[in-house]
Amino acid sequence: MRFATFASLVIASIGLAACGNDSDAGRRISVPSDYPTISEAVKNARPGTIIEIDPGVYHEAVEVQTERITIRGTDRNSVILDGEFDLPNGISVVSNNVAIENLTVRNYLQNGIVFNGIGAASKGGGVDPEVDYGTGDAVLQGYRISYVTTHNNGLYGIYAFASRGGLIEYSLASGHPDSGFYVGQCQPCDVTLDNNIAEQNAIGYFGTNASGGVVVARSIFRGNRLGIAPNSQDTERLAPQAEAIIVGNHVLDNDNPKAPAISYGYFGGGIAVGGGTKNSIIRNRVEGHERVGIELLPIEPFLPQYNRIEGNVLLNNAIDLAYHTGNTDAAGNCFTGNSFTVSKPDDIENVLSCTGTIGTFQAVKPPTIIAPPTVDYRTIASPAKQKSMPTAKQRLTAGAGTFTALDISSIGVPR
Amino acid sequence: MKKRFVVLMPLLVSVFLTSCGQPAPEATNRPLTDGEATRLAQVRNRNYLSGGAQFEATSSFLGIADPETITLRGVIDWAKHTGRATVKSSLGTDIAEVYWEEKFLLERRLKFDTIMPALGGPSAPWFGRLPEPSTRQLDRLLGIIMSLAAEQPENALLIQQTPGTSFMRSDLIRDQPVDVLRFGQRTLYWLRTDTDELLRFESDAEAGLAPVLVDIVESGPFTAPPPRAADIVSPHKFPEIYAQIRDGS
Repeated sequence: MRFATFASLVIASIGLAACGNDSDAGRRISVPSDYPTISEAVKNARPGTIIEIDPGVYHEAVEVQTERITIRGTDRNSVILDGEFDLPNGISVVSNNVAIENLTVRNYLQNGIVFNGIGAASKGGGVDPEVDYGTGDAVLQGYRISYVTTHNNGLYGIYAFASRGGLIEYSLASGHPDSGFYVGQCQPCDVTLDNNIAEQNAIGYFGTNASGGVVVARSIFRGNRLGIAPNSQDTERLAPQAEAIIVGNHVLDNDNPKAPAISYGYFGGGIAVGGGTKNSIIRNRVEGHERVGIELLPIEPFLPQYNRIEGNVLLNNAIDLAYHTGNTDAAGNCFTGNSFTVSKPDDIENVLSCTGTIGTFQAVKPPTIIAPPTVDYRTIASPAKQKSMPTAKQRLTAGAGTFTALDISSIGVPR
Repeated sequence: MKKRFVVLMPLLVSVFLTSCGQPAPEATNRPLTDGEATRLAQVRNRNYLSGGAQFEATSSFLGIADPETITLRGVIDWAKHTGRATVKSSLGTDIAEVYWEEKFLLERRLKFDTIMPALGGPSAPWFGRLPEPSTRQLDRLLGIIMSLAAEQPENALLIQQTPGTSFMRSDLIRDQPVDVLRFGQRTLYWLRTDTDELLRFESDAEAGLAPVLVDIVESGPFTAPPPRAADIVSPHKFPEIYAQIRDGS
């Protein structure tokens, strides 16, 4: 009941109303014909502007302060922002309701694309250490990323921090020494990640203190060192993390020694809930992991609580399902309806069942696996070319716009 | 994910040292801009990528009956996590030089120069041990120096929202214009204005009682040569000598 109610709330809350007036809807400017650089085009954009970028390699760090604009490449693979390992972020957004579509962002020192809720909420007035950015009104409101490739950036490929009301879809993140996709410090986040690919990153998806309305769905996480990790940490505000739905993903071979190392040494997991609360890990296919397929584990001082692991298919993992808290308190966590072979503790669906009956089980500590040495993110091979955004999907009005919520119940285990 | 700044914080503390012989310019002390936070987020990775450094470092322990100041001058190889430096102590201990790697260190102890040859050992002996940063001031200082380089950048947004983080002032060091940025309450980074190179790091981890200052004299590919194997005293062959050192004699 708890989880059904939560899912309903997610579905109801994802839609983002377009804000501001539409008097300038459809205004289009081009790079380089109207403005020679993306940055100049962005500076000259007004709410409602669609910036269209022709093929080329643009060595820029673009900063977006204008609300309700779209930055759109005309070809995903040949419109390239390249930081040359010298510039900080490819596109840094501090304004509401911005969309970024159909381009590639690579070789930046920090992030490929960052939606920065601190910048949006402080409006250039500097950070107020007393404010909990990411909740209440202290957020960036509304963002969308569609058909974007990010690779070989120094932290994250796509990063939404202290931001609410987002959609990240049909995008790929590869070769990042932290995570490909990162949603952090938001409550509620109301963000959907759908039909994405994360490969060759330290972590595919990382969601630190990202709570409420988080959906990671129908995506592929392969060849990272860890696939998916909703988690709580006290190094960011708004802990503990709660209420993410991880559904219908294909999570495979996330024990890739050729991906960059995770700073605290973790290696070889499909989905790991680190100190998270009330998450639903449902109907994913998780296979080929040296450490574990799906696990619940603590991140000091947070214990995983009230998480539900249901209906997943687990194949060829050293351990398929694990409750790695090192104690015998179920803490409301439960496993049911999964297809698996090996679990820790044994017989996990009976001793940590979802029926309310908790059996006696042996405490299991997380295994110690020595991670292979790290890899320089700058040297990781670029990803293959990706499908461009279909013209039919390109919106006529600028900005993030409204999103159709996913019907979680209709999403099955991927084949 | 990148928590090394935060991990380091408990080691570091709250009084800031003044620049050597120069009047401190008026403090600005305002929040960091995005660009300044990014400079701070990159500084340790920039050190790592530069290869190494020649440095001078001092660490004082003031809140005890016999306050001690240790001064190191040497080189560090950030990528290999190795370093070698001369050691001077205000209390005149017999450690003249130190060589370290990630998980152990070697000390050149003058006191044993005449003893070891008589026992069949080297005339310029080095002694090995594991680092003990929580109890030894020298080891704590080495740990801080090592922490000034990292394989990956930090997160500029998390740095920005850390209480105390701020732009302190513009200043000069060794005739180079620098920006002095504070991370958290107790560490200062002096970054060259034009290149973002770290020229000085300051911290104080014990509320004014344990200030640390590290000057990066030159950045670049430095290597730290280890002592000759023949000069390293074997703990298996000379356990009684190692026992003397452990006992503090």
